[in-house]
Parts: sequence; structure tokens; C-alpha cells
Amino acid sequence: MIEITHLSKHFGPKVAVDNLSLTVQKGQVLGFLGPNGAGKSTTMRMITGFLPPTAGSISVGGTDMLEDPNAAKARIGYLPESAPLYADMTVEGFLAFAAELRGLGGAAKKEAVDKAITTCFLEKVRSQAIDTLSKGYRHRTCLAQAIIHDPEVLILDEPTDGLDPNQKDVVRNLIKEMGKTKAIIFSTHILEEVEACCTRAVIIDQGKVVADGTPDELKRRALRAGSVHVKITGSGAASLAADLGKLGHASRVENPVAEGDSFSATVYPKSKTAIGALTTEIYELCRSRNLVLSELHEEPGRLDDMFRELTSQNKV
Amino acid sequence: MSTPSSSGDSTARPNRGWLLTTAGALIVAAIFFALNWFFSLSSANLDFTEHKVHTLADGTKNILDRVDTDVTIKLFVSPTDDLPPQFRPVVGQVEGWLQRYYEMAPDYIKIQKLVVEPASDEEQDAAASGIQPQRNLYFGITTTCLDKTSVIPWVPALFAPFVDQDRIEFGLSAAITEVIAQKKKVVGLMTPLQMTGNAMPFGGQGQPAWALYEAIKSQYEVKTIELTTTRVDPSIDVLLMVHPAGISDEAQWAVDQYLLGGGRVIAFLDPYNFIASRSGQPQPGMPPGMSPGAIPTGSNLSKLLGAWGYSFEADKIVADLNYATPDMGPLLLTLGTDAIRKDSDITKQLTDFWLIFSGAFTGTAATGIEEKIFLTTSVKNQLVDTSYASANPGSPQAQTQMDRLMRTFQSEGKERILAMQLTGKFKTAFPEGKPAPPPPSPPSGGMPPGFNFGGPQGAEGQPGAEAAPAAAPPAETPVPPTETPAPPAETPAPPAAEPAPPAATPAPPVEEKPADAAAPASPSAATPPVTVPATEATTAPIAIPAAGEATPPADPLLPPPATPAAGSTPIPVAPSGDPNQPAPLKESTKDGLVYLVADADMLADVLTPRILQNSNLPFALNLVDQAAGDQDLMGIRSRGSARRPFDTLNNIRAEANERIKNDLQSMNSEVEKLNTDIQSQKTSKDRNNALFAGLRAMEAKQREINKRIYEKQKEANKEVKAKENFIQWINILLMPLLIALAGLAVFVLRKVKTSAR
Amino acid sequence: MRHIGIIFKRELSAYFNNPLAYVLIIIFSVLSMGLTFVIGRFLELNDASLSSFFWFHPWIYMIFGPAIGMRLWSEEHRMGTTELLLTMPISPWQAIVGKFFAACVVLAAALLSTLPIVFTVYHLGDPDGAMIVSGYLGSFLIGAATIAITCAISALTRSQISCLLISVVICFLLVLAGFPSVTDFLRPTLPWLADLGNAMSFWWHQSEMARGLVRLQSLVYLTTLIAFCLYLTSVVIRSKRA
Repeated sequence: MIEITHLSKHFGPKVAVDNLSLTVQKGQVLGFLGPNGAGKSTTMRMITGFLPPTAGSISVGGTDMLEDPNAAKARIGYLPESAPLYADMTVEGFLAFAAELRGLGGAAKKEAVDKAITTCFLEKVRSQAIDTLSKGYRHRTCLAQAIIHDPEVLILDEPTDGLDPNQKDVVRNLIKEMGKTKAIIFSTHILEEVEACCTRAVIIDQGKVVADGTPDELKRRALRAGSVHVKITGSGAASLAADLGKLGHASRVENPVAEGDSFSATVYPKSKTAIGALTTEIYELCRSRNLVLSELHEEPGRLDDMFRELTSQNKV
Repeated sequence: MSTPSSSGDSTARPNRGWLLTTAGALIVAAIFFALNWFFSLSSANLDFTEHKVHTLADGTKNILDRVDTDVTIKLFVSPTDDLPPQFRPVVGQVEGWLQRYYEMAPDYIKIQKLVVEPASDEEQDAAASGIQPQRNLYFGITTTCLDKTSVIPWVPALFAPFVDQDRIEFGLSAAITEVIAQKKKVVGLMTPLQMTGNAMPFGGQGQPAWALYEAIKSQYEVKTIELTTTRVDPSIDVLLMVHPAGISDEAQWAVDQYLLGGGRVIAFLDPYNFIASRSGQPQPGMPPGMSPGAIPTGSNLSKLLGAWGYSFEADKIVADLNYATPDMGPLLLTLGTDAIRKDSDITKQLTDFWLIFSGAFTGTAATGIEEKIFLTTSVKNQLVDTSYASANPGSPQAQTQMDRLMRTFQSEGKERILAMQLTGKFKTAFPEGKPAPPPPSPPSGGMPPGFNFGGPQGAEGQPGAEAAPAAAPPAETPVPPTETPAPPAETPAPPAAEPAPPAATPAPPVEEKPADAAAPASPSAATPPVTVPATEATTAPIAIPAAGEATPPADPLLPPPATPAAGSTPIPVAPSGDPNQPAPLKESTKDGLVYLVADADMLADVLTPRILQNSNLPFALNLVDQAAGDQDLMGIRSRGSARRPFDTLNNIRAEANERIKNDLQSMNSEVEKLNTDIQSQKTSKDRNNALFAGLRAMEAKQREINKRIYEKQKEANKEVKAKENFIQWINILLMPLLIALAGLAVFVLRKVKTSAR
Repeated sequence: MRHIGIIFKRELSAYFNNPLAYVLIIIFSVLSMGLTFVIGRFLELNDASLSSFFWFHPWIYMIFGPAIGMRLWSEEHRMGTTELLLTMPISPWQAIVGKFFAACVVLAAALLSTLPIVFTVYHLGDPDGAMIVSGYLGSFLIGAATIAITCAISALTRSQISCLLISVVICFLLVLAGFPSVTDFLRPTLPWLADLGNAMSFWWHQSEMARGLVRLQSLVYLTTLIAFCLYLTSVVIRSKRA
């Protein structure tokens, strides 16, 4: 549905997006992750046709954004960051305006407005002026604008930013629901949101894709994923660090912490498949030393670890 | 539109985008400037004004077409900052016109603008060219072609005397016509009236020339022709007769022959010429015996008119109820669009006329002649005796006369001709040949019985003017041969048939010969020494009140014995025995042209300035131009007025003034009387306290009356002021209030509909 | 065209749902009438034409045009709605033109609010109707030109006040360039500059049209100036995005 190839954007000497390629299929909800200034918003603005790219191409539903911007834009619904709105209009008037710009008229327009209002739970405020609305309603009004023409592609820039937990939940469910029939890209800082509703997550940093996969895949790719966390108590436990490292399937030991008779550490296997053998070895070691193995579990990997690992390494 | 386009054609796609870059913007800016530069060279325009005042008239185009040598037009003007503000836009307009002239004939017309700084070469140049500075300001134009130069010494004067017309174009075109013409056309002027104006001898107040005369003189060479002439030189292009009272049969024969030879004749006849009626009256300040004979009040060309199929009753005035002038009765005709036949170039753009004691023509054109009517009366008219005109309009006597007239008025039910044109092949009015010198006979105009011109002053009459000399001798009255190169001087041996030398009959003092009213006119004089007996010693100025206009302070009547004005040369009268004279013509050799108008006072701006503001003079000048063949200039002059006054306010003002007129008059005369009393008391030798007390009381009373006059005027102006105030504040406040209300309504509605609930 | 219409409609309702438009029209009306009657002594001129009325218009537009036009893009930038508007399937120029037309309607409404003076001259005298029409045409075009200039400036900045100030200065110069005392001052030394000033000046074009002379040059200048300014708006909007 969305095909981005070798997309670059330079603001003067600054490279905001650097040779980025990405494809999003219908039915995919793509969580767009990255630290501030990584180029998320710039990329999304290029996809929606607001910013012209310095290089590369964008195709939406087979239509090139640069060749035929209006046809491409017509396929996209866009919720810009901070959800800008015409404050002087009513919710209904604003949605009608958006519908008209999207080429809807007459009964179709009315239907679309009603549907968007229902979808985004705006019935209560439909004839209210936008400048009298709370932040949550404004956000949802802007979201309603983005989906008013039932687009194939939705680009949502931080759709849950500034919402209270209940509102966030509403929006997430909306995204999940719509994701079944559309190609959606949304950016966020909140990692659990990605886990909660994305079928795919992309992490970019300094304008480049640094990770791309399902949330689970990415989690597993975190460095700690697959390691074994142990906690051992008993006399002499404090000196276990070296012994653990000498185990046949262990590659290294990290974070050894000795507190009196208790010792904890993370032990990495030599390979991800050797994890079973390693736990056995640890168990055997404890038994042989007459120590109590009070904790032993495999680390599943965490997305924020992954995120931090990927996006901090280049930071000075 | 240079707005960027991103819609539509895909072929342009690869290049799209350059347009919105900085380089693109520079290119578009360059195109923008180039385009505007290009169009700034063009003077194409749309003229939105009703009378196309920004477009050269066809007449000007024709005149410019005739230009085939270089014509240099120099505009001399003081630096703009020195000019009074009201002239500054005029400079721009004049320059605009000059530019248009240049564009019309760029090969020949050369335009120069010279800014005349004080003590500069330009100033010398201007002075040498005849430009007259006004209060050290220069704003004049010279037009030069070969060795001929026409000067407009002071451009703002172009707007006068016809204040209602934008005259820049006319002034320029006339100047060009003048300098490119090989020679000026000649207008022969035949009138007993002193149209040329004159300075009074013996320190009297001079008379201005008629505006009509000045206007004709600026375009044409004017030659005066005696009313007793026996030959009109065919080299005269137009023969203009203004109230030809007492014209001799021989002179009519001369006119007849002139016309049959292809001449063009304009005749303003009059059954009762107001100016003539004031002639011959004694004038205080003039030594007795200097008051010359009067001019008959009626004029006619009965012989000629008869031959053309018409008659003009020279003792009947037309009264018209529909065209009566408000407050002045049905003898003074105000002609609006209904009365004007617009199917002629001459009248097509004219709008209003004012006729003073007009006659009317009746009859139908003789065979071979075609008539075209310019002005008519309404159907509610009647020819009445001239005696009805004897009192000053507006005076009580006149009121009585009018009442009498109204009682007996009987409409004759058909329109009468006031002015018309006759063209075609004319037949002679003198089939028997040249008439013999006529026996003494009464002048054609019937003499009204003695009547009083004085009476109470006219509405606008000013007390100061009242004492001014009222009557003046007529123009062509007999004069001592020493003062005028009289015709006989050049015809030393006139045949016996010729009239006697004019010097033979000095004008008798009027008072001495009241019986002359009925006496036959002496054929020997240009004007018979018949006078209207003045029954009262004091005479009032002619005071034809024109609403809102002051009567000219100077006495409008005409000055003393004529010395021909500069520029007008008497035509020598060829003796009939001249062997070179051809045989008399029996009918037209070439198409002739005659214009007949039934009133001559309509031309006399000296009577009232009102005549300068209506169509009277443009009409007369159109006739002259048309007859002289300069139809181009006529077309330019006939353009509509560029001035559009606030009639409504002016009318309210005039009405208000009208209402208090009588009160003011009585109060004013009261003040006058008090003044006289005070003066006489002051000079009284018998000075005592009682007298002083009385004086003081009188002065106090005077002050009080003056205050009342002031109050009265203020009161009268109140209505206008109130209306002005109303208009002003309605204009300023009405819409803002409405908009504020509308805005408020929208705002409240919206608040109610869209607020949070 | 349809898109222009939609933008136009929205912008127009934004104008009239806001007190600003009413206040501006009222100020325009009071100012133009007040100046004409009080300073220009309209009733004493005894001239049934609107020349003295139109005389003041360039000066009023100097402020009025920028005041109408300042919100066109500045407000959009400030609220961030540019991003919304330009990601709709319309072209930027359609938005520019639609917004400009809406501002012109406010201008036209302001001119309509001066109609009482037309009735007044017809009541008081016999004016030249066509001359009044050409005067209004000139007035409208000059007002539209000041709006177009402001439109370009407003695309540059998100602050309405700075947009207003910059535009007023530009319009002031464009009015003054043809003011007689300026051109007369320049003419002796720099005649070409005086001519250029005249040709570029709202003053000159307005005064010519007010007296019934509509030059092709004036029409071309004012319409191309408007088009050029709208084009510049488009360049600025694009350069802001690039």
C-alpha cells in the first residue's frame, strides 16, 4: 500500500531522513518508533505530501506522490502531530469541510460526517465550536477528519499524545480495529502502545531504519533476550561469578551482585539454543556446592531495551 | 495568472517545480515588470464618463487630420508647489490632453512643457510669447505653426465664460485651427447694439464687450457692417445680424444678394429688444446732448422673410405658459428638452435656453427651401402685444401687466417656431431689382407707449447700482464723422440715391423730443434718432433676476457713441453706381444657409450672467461655426457639461432665500433709510444732546435691524444646514450601525448554537 | 474550481464568524465617509461626483488591506492548519486563490457599506453614473492589490502583527510613490524614477479611475500585481516547506 524507496530529506546541511526505504501492506499497523528528532514526523510529512522529499520516491496505493500528489493524497488520511484544527468552526462544520475537500458531497458527505462522529465518539460535541473543546475531543475531531473519507492509508503522528489513559485506550482500539482493513502508520513514544496494537514496528534513528519486525521479533532481538537470570543463596555464593562463567555453555556473566549470602547475576549462553543446557549446568553447580537456587528464569527481552540499545549507541 | 499549476497535464510534470524556486520567482518578476513596462507605453483606455471627456472629440480628430506641418504646443506652468491647489489637477489634465493630441498626430504635434521658475529663461520666454502671469504664476499655452502663434494666456480662464464646460480641448483645438488656417474666416456683424463694449468717456464706467463677441473674435475676423449698407462683400463667410432694427430696404437687398451668392446668414431678430429698450435714455454723468438716439425695440427682415415664406411680427411677443420662467412670467421663456429639437448637430447636446421677450416665426418654407426647426414654444402660447414687456420683470407694474395678461390669455393651440434653419435655393426678395432709397418710414418695430423702466428695483438689484447710469446710447447711433471713419468718407461722391451722410443728424437729447416716438426714422442714420421717451428721470439698472445670481454691478446698458472695437473694421459700402457691380441675382447660385432666431436678448450676457451658464451662447456659437463651416469646433463645443452641481441643495438654498427675499428687502431699505437719516442728522449744524440721543437711538435701531437680518438669513439657511447635517450623519453612521447590529446578531446566534453544553 | 470554492466558503465564514471583519468594515465605512464629509467637506464642494470620496481610498487601503489580509496565512501557520490544508487533495494555489477571493468579498462588503454616498449624490445632483462605477472599480482593484501584497507577506510569518506592519509599510510606499508632491520632487532630478513611481503607485491609478479614465495600463498593472503577489505567496509557502 505504501512504498517508500530511498527517501531522503535534507534541511540545509542537516540530514533529517537518510535513504529510507519502507513498505507497508494493507492490514498492517506499523508502529513508528524513534527518539525525538529521528525523522519520524519528517518522514510522515513526506508520505502525506506536505513536504517534498530531497530524494527518493513515495508511492501510495500505486500512485506516486510526486507525480500526482492529489490522487495520492486522496488515498491518505492524516492526523498531524498536535492535531491542528480551525478553531472558529464547529466539529460538524469542520468535518463537513474536510469531507468536501475529499470530494464528498450531498448525502455521501452527511453520511461520512455522521460515521466519523460516531466512530470517534464525538456525538456530544458535534455542534460545538472547536475552540470550546477539551484536548481529547480535539484530538478525536482531528482523527475523525483523517478517517472521514475511509482512506486506504492512515498516517497518524502521535495519535495518543496528551490523552488521558482512557482516551488512549479508545484511540488504540480504534487503530487496532481499522488496522484490519487499512495500511496504518502511526508514530509514538509509548512502547506498550506498539506492543498493544501494532502488527509491525519500525525503529528509526537519525533518519535510518534501525529495526523492523513484529514487536515480538524485536523484543527477542534485544541483547538481554535469551539470557538467564539467577539468584543463589548460601555461604560462598558471593564467589560464584567466576564459576558461572566457566560453565560449558556460558559465554559471560553480567551484573554480578553479591549481598551477604546472596548472589545474583545474568548469565548469557553461548548460543540461543544452548539455553536449556545452561540452566541444567547452573542447577548442577548449585547442587554440587549446596547452594539454594532461589531464582532462575529466562529473560524474554524487552522492547524498550531494544529501543534504548538501538538508538543510544550513536548518541555522544 | 501566473499562479503555479499542479493540476492537469502530465507532460509538464518533469519540469514542474522550477516555477516555485527563487530562480523561478526572479524570472516571473522580470516578466511582471516587462509586461507592465510594455503596457505603460500604451495609452489605450476606457472612458467611463458620460460625455467621454477623456477622449478626443471627433472634431479634434478631424482638425488634427488637417495638420500637415509641425505644430509646436508649449505649456508654460509654474512649479506645481507654487500653484494654488485647485489648479494642480488642472495641470495634470492639460498634460493628459496634450499627450492625447500628440498621440493623434505624433508626426506633427510637438509638445513642450516648460516649468517657469521665477527669474529663469523660461520666464523670459513666457513673457515674450504673450503668456500672462496671474499673481506671478504662469499657466499658459502657446501654439505655433510656421509664423503663426496662438496664445492661451491663462489656462484657467478657458473655463470661463462658459463655466459649465470643460474647455481645455476646445481651447487647444481652436488654437490649432487658428494657427494652421491660412487665414481667419470673416464674420460680418450687423447690429445697432454695442456688442464690442466700450469705455465711457468723461470718466464713466466702461462696458464690457459681450461674451459672444469676444468668443467670435477669438476665432474669426469680425467686420462690422452698417444697417444701411448696400452691399455685403461675398468674401464675408458669415453674416451675423443681431437685432437689425431699422435695417434699410437697400441693406435687406444687399443681404438678399449676399445670400443668393451662396452667403450664410444668421439673424437674431427681436420683437422687443430689452437692451434697445433701454437705449437713448439720458444718463446722469453724461453731459446733456451726448445722449444719443435710441434703437427701435423691434427688428425684422420682413422683405426677406416674406420671400422665404415666413413672417415675423415685430410687435408681438410670445407668451408661453408651459415654458414660463418661475417668478418672471410667461414672457421670459425657459426652454428645456421639450422645446429643443435634438435632431441637429447644433442642438443635439444643448440642454437649456433662456429667451427674453421672444417673438415667433410663422409660415412654411417657400419652394426650394428646406426648414429645420431648432426651438419651439409649447402649445400653450399666445402672441401678445409688446406693451406687456414694458415694465421691469418682477416689478409691481409688471405684476399688474402679467395679471392682465393671464386674464386674457388664450392659448392658440399650436407650437410656434423660435429658431430654425433654412437651406436650399433661395429666390430673391426683390424681383424688381434694387429698391430705391426708401422714403422716410416708421421703423418696423412698433413703439410701445411711454413706460417706465425704473420702478422698484429688481429682486437682486443692489442699492448701489440703482444710482448708476441706466441708459446708454446705442451702438450704431449717428456719430460725429470725426470719431468714426464713416462710409461717406470713402465714397466722396455718393450718388443722389444714396442716403445722406450720417453726420447730418446728430442725436437729439431724448428729453427734448418725446414726440419723436412717433416720428419717422431718418434714413440717413444707421439708427433713426427715435427714442423711447423716458417719463421718469431716474432709471433703474436692468435687473432681470436670475435665481441665485447677482446682477452684474455695472450697468448693463450700453455705452456711448461707438468707436469701432479693435478687430472689427467697417466694411466700406460700395456705392450702387459702382460699375463693377454685377447684375442683381434673381435666385441662389449656390445653396444658401439661413439661421433665424426670434430673440436677440438671449445673447446679451451683459443683462445677466445667467446667460453664460446655459445653452444660449453655445447655441449661437454653434450657429456661427456651422455657418462658417467649422463643424469640427462645433462638435467639440457641444460636448456636455463636466460640472454637476448639487442641484437639490442649491434649490433649497434658493427657495429659502426666495422666502425671505421680501423681508430682507424691506429691512434693507429700512437700514438704508436710517443711514440717510443718520447722515443728514450728522451734517446738521444744530448739535445738541437730544440730537445725539436720537442719533444713538437710530444707530441702535440700525444695529438691531442688522441683527434681525442676520438672524433671518441664519433662519433661512437652517433648512439647508439641517439637511446637510442629516445627510452627513446618515452617511457616516447608518451603515456602521447596521453592520454592527448584523455582526452582533451573527455573534450571539453563533454563541448560542456552538457553545459548550 | 470546486476546491477554490470550498476554501473560499470556509475562509469567508471564518471572516464573518469573527468580530474582526465587522469591526474592519465599520472602520472602513466610518473612515471613508468621515474623511469625505468632515475633512473633504463633501457637501461644500458642490460637485455631484465621488472624486473627493475616492481621493481618500488609497490611504485607507494602506491600513485596511493589510488588516483584512494579515490573517490569511499567518493564522494558518500559527494554528498549524497549513499541514492539514496542504495534505488535502488540493493544490496550494487553489487554497491561495480561494482565500484571496474570500478576503476580496470582505473588501467588497466594505465598499458596499459606502453605498449611501452614491444615493446621496444621486439625491443631490445628477452624477455621471459610469464615472462612479469606474471609481468603484479602481477602488476595488487597489484594495484587492493591497490584500494580495499582504497575502504574500502573511505566508512568510506566523505573527499577524508583523505581517500587518510589514504590509502597511509596503502599501504606504506604493501609495506614496505617485503622490504629486513626491513625483514633483523627484521629477527635476530623476524623471525616470518619478515616472516609475507614478506607474507603480496606487495613488495615480486610483485618481485616474475616479475621474472616469480607466487605462489599460492600470488594469494590467493591478491585475498582474495581484497575480504576481499570489504567485509569490505560493513560492513562499513552498519554500517554507522545503
